[in-house]
Amino acid sequence: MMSQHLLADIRRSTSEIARSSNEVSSGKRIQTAMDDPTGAHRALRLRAELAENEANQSGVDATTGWTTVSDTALNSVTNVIHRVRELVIQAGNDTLQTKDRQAIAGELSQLLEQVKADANAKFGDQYVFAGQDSTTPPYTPGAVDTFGGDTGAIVRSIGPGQTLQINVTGDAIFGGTPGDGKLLDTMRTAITNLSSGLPADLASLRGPILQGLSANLDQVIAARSQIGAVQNRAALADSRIADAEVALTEQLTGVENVDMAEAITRLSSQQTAYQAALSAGAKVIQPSLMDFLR
Amino acid sequence: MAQISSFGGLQTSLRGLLAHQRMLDVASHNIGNADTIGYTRQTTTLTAAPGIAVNGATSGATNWLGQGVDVTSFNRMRDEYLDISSRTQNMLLGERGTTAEGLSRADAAFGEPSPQGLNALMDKMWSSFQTLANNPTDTGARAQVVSDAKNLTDAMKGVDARLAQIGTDAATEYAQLTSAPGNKIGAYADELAKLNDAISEAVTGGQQPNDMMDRRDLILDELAQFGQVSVSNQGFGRISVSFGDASSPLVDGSGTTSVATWPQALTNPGGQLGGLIKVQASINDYRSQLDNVAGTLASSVNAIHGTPPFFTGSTASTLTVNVTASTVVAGSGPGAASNDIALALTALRGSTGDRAYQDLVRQTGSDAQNAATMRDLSISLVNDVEARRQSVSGVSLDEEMTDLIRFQRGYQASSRAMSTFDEMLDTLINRTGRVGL
Repeated sequence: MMSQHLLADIRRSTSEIARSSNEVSSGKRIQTAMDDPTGAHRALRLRAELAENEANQSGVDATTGWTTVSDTALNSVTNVIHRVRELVIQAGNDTLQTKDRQAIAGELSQLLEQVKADANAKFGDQYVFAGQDSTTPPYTPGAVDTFGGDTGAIVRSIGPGQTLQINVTGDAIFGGTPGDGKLLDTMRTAITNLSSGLPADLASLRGPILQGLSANLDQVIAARSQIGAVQNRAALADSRIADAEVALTEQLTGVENVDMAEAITRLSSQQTAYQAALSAGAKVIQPSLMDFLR
Repeated sequence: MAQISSFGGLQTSLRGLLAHQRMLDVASHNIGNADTIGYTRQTTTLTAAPGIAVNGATSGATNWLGQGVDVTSFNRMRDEYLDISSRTQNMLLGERGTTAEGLSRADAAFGEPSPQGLNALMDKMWSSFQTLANNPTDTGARAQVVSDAKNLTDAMKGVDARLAQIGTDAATEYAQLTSAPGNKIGAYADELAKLNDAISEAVTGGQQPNDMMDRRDLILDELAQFGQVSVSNQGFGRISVSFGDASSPLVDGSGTTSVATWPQALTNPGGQLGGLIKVQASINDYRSQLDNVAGTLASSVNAIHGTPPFFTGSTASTLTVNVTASTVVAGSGPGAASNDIALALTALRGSTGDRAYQDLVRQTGSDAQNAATMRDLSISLVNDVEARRQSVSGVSLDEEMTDLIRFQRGYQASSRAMSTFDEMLDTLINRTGRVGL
């Protein structure tokens, strides 16, 4: 009877020790859900939130990359517009020779190609100003300025329920049809007028074309501030995601992981109890009346 | 008035000798069976033999002179109340142990929380939808969506198959115990019926078949692990045994020949059989909940994805990815960068399907935890009642050793009494009437 009690106690001790040492060696308080159903449920939710957070980080990264490419391209276009203005003001001067005007027209043509090249800026394999038709180049080099993309929005998710349009389309900034007054049209007109050299055309260089360039610059600046706003939101989301990652990881650690100091203390006290049970058992079980009868 | 024989004293001490010899025999039987499972310690019941009337030599008053000792019976030391509580506790332990084992296997089948669990795989699929939304023109992102979805459906099939296996194992074990040829319950029932008749025959013949009764009690103990056992006494050493919630008695001892009726249908028999039935019910419940998760997943994803349907099948075992990297739809627009569908699919993360799965894991975990707690409680209750039972019915070697010494001394004293009579008779027979010789 005594030996059965002893066996039951020893068996219980060993299973407790096995559990504690498993916790210590794996560092996990929850091996399977039955160890702590509520904790496990919470751990699943936290893991899902962490995965979502991580995925949103990728959305933020994609947004940042896309807008950086857009902004760099538009920055270059801004510089081009400033140079075009200088050239147009210079060309509007009546004292210029025809060959000087042609030289200026030649530079303007180069600058126009530069604008088209900037408008064809790519992030990865996608043209950032092409709308949703992002695999077709929006503009082709040469005399034709037709816009090859569409006006579709590029949307990225950067947080739970937070979606964000990250693109501006080329036709709004650079234009695509003759006479629409957008940058490419203005520049193309300036080149034609310069080449013709007619007094009326030259006069238009000083008037409508300069005004047109100012309006075009405003359009580019407006697009850049739109992109800047997107970048700000992405940066905010980025820091929020980083904060959330720290907080979620901390909570998950609290739910799933073992408090080592506590677990090791528990393990060593269980071992002491086990050894005590063994040695007490060894002393009690051995002797019997037969040892003392003669 | 009875005259007393001079040899009466010899008879009296002979009775003492024989009684002590019997008691030594019983002690030796006890020691021999100290480790026999189901053995009940036996004791010898002694009574003083009826006295004979003796008249006082002068007063004439009638006195009663003892005639020594009589062995009246050899008894089994059993406490019926403890037998019943032991069977009840063993029945509960059988049920809870079996339930706890099955449910902890189910809990392990889910294996949550883990980076390879269904929860993590669902997360991965949602994340790969988001990657596709970020890179709608990237074929790699499409391939990733398909492969993550396939990993999820494979894992879901795996979990479902593991759950199904636990259910099948429980059903097989139940059949093995109850209806397979040579099944345990049937064998116990037959043996109980035979023992019942043999015991009844012996009892009617005035014997006390202790060892057969031990065997019958042992079988009842074993049977109690498998289901609720209740015993009713039918007189003449016969018993009737009801088992679980079976409609007829397992063994009917009311007639002249005991009748065993097995197999019978059981719905809530308790014991291991009850545990096996409960495990199957729980597994069915878990599987239908997992099917619900799969169905929700399929319908919510398909509703957004449109044509072709992303998933076919609506149960955990049939859910299959129906798209390839080239047929995954990222957006409804004509443009290559159209990603509204992928974005809407991303937003499904953490919706009904995910939550239903997380709740299912919590339920399996808490079922398994409760079952394990109840089992541990039962183990300590069984230990407790067994200890009390052992203190009544078990053989304590120390006690038997003490008895051996006591009985040996008694035997020695009885034989000393006999030699005293012998010497007395010697004086009477050989020395009397020889005065002056």
